Amino acid sequence: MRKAFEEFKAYFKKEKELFDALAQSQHPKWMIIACSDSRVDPALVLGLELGEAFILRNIASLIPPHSKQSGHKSGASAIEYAVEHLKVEHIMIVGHSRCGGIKALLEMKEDGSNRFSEYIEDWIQIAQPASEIAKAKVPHDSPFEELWTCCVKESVNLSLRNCMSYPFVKIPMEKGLLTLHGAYFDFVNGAFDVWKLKCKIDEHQSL
Amino acid sequence: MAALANSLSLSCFDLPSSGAASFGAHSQTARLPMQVSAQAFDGQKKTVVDNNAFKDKTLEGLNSLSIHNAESRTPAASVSAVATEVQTSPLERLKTGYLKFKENYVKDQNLVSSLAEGQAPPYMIIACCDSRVDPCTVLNLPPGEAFVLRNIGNMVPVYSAQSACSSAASAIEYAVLHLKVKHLVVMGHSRCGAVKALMGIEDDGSNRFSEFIEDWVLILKNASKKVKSIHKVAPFAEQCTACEKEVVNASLWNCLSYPFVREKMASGDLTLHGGYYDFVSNAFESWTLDLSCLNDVDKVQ
Repeated sequence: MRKAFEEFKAYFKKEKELFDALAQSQHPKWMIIACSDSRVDPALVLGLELGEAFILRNIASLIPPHSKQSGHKSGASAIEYAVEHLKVEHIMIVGHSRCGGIKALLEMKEDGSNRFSEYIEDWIQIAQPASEIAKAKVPHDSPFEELWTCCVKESVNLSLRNCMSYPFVKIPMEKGLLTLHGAYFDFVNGAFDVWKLKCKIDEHQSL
Repeated sequence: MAALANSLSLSCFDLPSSGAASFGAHSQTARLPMQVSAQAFDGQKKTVVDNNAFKDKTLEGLNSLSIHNAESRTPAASVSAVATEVQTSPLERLKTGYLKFKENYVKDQNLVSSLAEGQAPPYMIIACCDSRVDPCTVLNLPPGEAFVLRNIGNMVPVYSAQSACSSAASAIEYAVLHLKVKHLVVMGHSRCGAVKALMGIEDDGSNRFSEFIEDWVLILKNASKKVKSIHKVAPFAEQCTACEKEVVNASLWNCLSYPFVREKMASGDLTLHGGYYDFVSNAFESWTLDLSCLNDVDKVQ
């Protein structure tokens, strides 16, 4: 770690003005939610500089829906901080190819007979609705890779909708102050797809 | 846990926690044995103690990777370029960044094919969401090197047998048991907003300002209590700095509360490290936990 930090330190000295400003406060425009997978660090993949993105990472980049039940709220607290205090303008949730968490979700048996972990299945269960959508969408005789890819994208969409269930996300979205984006990073074929989640209340019409 | 605590107290030192005499976990007085390897990189202080195990096993490997990938992690735009990019559309900014990454990434086809098949990162890093402390950037780690969990305050909750739908517990379990990482690093940092929020919470909760933030940071309220009792008269900013490091220690302690972490440490397959990135003074401290007395865990339990 030491040699690696020495190289970073040299760069830090070179960009002193930038880092002096960052030392005082951060004003990232982006919040990015990405998987913990070592192959998909969003700052590396998107060439982001320090200070540009507030980044939450967990297995399969999952966001549970808003809930008042007790339980650890790492995702909810991070989003609340990013939106209410840092006033980010964009939230992007990034799924990726060959996601181990989503694979485990797809292989889970309904009766739990092939349970293999203490915590992992309980966490990825958040994406269970995405698994159902993907299994209904993708023909049964398709290669597993196709189901896997579809489920990752549906999981991103599910997490985006779950983000919207938080009032502190929904309100700025409706006012046009916050945009939600989905993304899929395919490191097998070298592609990065993005899409927006649109939320708009139309003009009222009299019947 | 009590049996483990007893075995740990045999020949133990204290965790570095801003000069504190002892680290009390919950209501126990158990202390963790540790080999301090505080290495300050600010150019003024010299290294204190080398952690030979860490250096031998990982630093040499990391050196070669750093040199090999130096070109692929081009130092950032200058301040004027950053100012310009503010006017570009946000997605254009990401596109530019991605295309540059891709251009460099595809140069190493061996790495590309190997990562397409699977990942075998030697590190798990637990870091804060703060935009200024991306661990792969700060530590120059290329794709495939580090499995990263990020939340506000780089906090790890204590092990609980009840399912708490925990992102941290699931990530640590996956990293330790399935990816078989060799090193688990908890990395704290200066000017942490989550730690500041924790330190600012009134005991009666009268100044609550959020729906979720306080409940999250209070998982490490013991760290804040400890700092406030040791540094009663220090200015708030200094207390926060002490708490930033105490939170790292508390998170490391909580990592140890997971049986699968303890087992891997006892067998010598996993080392726990604390790190503190100070972006104000441009310094990085690190320290390592040495739990050689954990070899007695099996006999005790």
